[in-house]
Amino acid sequence: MRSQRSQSERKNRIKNAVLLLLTLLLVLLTALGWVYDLSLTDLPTDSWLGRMYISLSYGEAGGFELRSGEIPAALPAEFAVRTAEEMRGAQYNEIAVRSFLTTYKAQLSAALSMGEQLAPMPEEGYRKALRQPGIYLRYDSRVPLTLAANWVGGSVQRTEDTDLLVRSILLTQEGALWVRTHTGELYGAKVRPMEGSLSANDLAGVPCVFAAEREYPNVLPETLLFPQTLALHTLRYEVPKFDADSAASLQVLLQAFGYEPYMRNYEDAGTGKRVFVGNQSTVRVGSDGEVVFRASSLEGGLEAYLQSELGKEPPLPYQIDYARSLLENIFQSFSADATFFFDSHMTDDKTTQLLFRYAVGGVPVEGEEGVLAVIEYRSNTLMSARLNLRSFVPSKESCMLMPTAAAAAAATGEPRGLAIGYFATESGLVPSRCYVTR
Amino acid sequence: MQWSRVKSILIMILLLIDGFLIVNIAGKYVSNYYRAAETAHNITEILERRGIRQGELFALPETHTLPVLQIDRSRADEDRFAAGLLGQELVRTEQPDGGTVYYESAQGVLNWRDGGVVSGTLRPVGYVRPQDAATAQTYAREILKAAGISASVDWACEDAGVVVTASFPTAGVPVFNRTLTLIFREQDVEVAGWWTFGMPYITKSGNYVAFSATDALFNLISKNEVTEIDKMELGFLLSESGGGRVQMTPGWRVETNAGSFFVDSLKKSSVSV
Repeated sequence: MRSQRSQSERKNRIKNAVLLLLTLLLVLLTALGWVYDLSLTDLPTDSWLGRMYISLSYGEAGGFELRSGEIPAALPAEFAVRTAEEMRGAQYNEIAVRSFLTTYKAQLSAALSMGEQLAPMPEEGYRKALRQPGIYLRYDSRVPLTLAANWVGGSVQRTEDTDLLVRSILLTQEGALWVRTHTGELYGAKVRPMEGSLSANDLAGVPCVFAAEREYPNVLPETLLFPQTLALHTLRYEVPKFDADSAASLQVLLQAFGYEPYMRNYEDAGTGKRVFVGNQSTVRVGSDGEVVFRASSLEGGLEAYLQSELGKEPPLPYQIDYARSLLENIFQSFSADATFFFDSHMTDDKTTQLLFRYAVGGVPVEGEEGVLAVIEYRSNTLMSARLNLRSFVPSKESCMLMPTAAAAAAATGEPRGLAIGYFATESGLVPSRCYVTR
Repeated sequence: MQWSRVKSILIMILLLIDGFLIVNIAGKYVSNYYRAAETAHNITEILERRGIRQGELFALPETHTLPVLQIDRSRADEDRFAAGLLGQELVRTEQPDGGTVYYESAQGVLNWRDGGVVSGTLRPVGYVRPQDAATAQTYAREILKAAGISASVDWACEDAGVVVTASFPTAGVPVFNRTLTLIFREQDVEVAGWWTFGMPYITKSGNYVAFSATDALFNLISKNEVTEIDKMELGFLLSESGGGRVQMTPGWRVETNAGSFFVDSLKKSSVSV
C-alpha cells in the first residue's frame, strides 16, 4: 500500500516536471518564432526590447545610439558671442553657425529647458541685456520654442497653445534668457547663469555689433551689424529628369516612399505625369520636378513613429524628424546642390502641415521657387507630400549685397529685422538683403 | 476527473503544440537555406552567362539590416587630437567659413577638413624611422594614443611596416574609408585619412536598410566592366552630409579584377574604394 502510494507520488512529480518543461519550451519556441520574423521597424527602438535586439544584432550596445528628434531641421541664420572684450558672430554660413551652436549647445539646452518661466517683458531691459556678455542666435524659420530646445538636447514643457514661435534667442552669461517671437513680442526669464567661460576667439566668426549700440531706430535692437560686405552668386535652377539618360534615380526617389519602379504605373493624360499606384496610395512624378505622394487612407500613409513610443511628448519633433529623413532620402535621388530647412508648420484638429524650403550656402530661397515640400500628417501618419525638386546652379555673375549698416540706416517705419534671401527675377535667383516685418 | 489524468491530457496538448512550433521554425530555417542555395546557384548561372568568373573563395553573403548613421563633427576632439600629436604649444588657424582648421607647431603641421578628413606631417621629438612592421605598429600605437585614439583599433601594416593603418568597426561591420594611415618616412611621419569622433547616432525615424548581396552584385555588374568577383563584404562608407555632419551609409564592398567597389544601398550606385 505504502509502496503504491510512493510510486504514484513519483509519477505525479514526473508529470509536474514534464508539464513545467513543456510549458517553458512552449514559451521559448513562441519567442523564437516571433524573433525570427522581427525587424527594427516592428518595435520601438528605444524600448528595452529594441535595445536588446540592437545589442544582439550589432554587437554590444550596437556601436551607435538612438536619439529622439535631436537633429536640427533648421539651423540659426546667425549666431554671435559677446565676451567682456569683444563680440564675434557669423551669419548665413552653415559651417560657422554650426560651430558656434556646437560650442554653446549645453548652455543653450540648460537655459531653454527652463523656458516655461518665460513671460512678456518690456524692451528697456532687453537693450541692457544686449550689452552684456552672452550668446545670441536668430532663425529665419518659425521654430517653436519646444522644438528649438529639443534640437539642442533640452526639453521645455509648453503646450501647443502656449508655445512661442521663436525668431531670436538671447542668453546672457548671468542667466537672463530673452526670446523674440515672430510677431515681435519679447519674453524674458531668469535662468541659471551660464556654466563655463565665453570665448569667440577659436570659432570661425568675424567682429560684429548689435544695432542697439548704434543709432538705428528703424531696425530691431538685436540686428547684427557686420563690417564686411557680402558677395553671392546669382543662381538658376534646373529640374531633375527621371529618365534613362539622366543621373537622377527614379528608383531611389520611389523607394523613399516605399515604392518600386516596376509597380503598376501609367501616364496621366491630363497632366502628363507618371502615376505609380500602390495599394492605398499613389506617387505622381512630373517632368516639371513636381512629385506628389498621396495616401487615400491611414493604412496607405507612411507611419512616422509608433504611437506608443510618443508617451506624453508632443508629436511635432517626431513628425519633422521623419519628414527631414524622408527628404534626405529623396535628395539621394538627384543632385540638388542645395540644402533644405524646416520653415513653418500649421496645425488644426486633425492634421499638421509642414513646410520645407531650399537654402543655398545657408541662404534661403524665397518665394514659390524656394518651396521644397509641403508635408501633411494625420496623427503619426504622413498622408501627403508635395515636392518641387530642383537643382540650383550658380552663375558666373555675383551680387554685392548692401552692407548691414547701410541697410539698417535705410530702414524706415517701425523697427524690423534684416535678413538675406534669393529672390526670383527675370535674370534668375538674385541674392538680396531684405527687411523682415512682424 | 482525476488530476493525474488532466495532467496527462495537458502534457499531450503541450507536446502537440511544441511539436508544431518546432516543425514551423525548422521549416523556416530549411526553406531559407534552400532559398539561399537556389539564389547562389542562379547567380552563378547568370554570372557565367555574362562571362564573369567567381573567385575560389567567393561565397554570396547573407543580407543583414544596417542603420544609416550620422556623426557630428567634434571640434573639441579634433583640437585634442592635434594637441596630442603636435604638443600644447600649437598655433590654430581657421578658414573664415570654418571648413578647415590648421594646426602648426615645432612638431609638425596638421589640418582637419570639414567632414573629418585629416592630413599632416609629424616630426616627433627624437624620431627614428622604424625598421620593421612590429616596431612601426608599436610606434603608430604610441602616436595615436597620444592623440587620444587607443581603444579597439585594428591595425594593418604594409611595405615592411613603413605604412601602418588604423581603423575600427561600427555596428559589427567595417567602415571602409574610416582609416588613419601613418607613413613613416626618413625625416617625418605623414598622417592622412578620414576619422570620426563620438558615437554615431540614428533617430527614431532613421533608416534601417536591408540591401541584399544579390541586388548589390547585379547593380555593380550592370554598370561596370567586371570579369571576376573575388569577395563581398557588408559595411559602411563615410560621406559628407552637409554642415559638418558625416553620414555612414550601409552597402557592399565588392572586390573584383577591376578593383574594389562600394555599392551604395541608398543611391544604388557604385564607387571605387
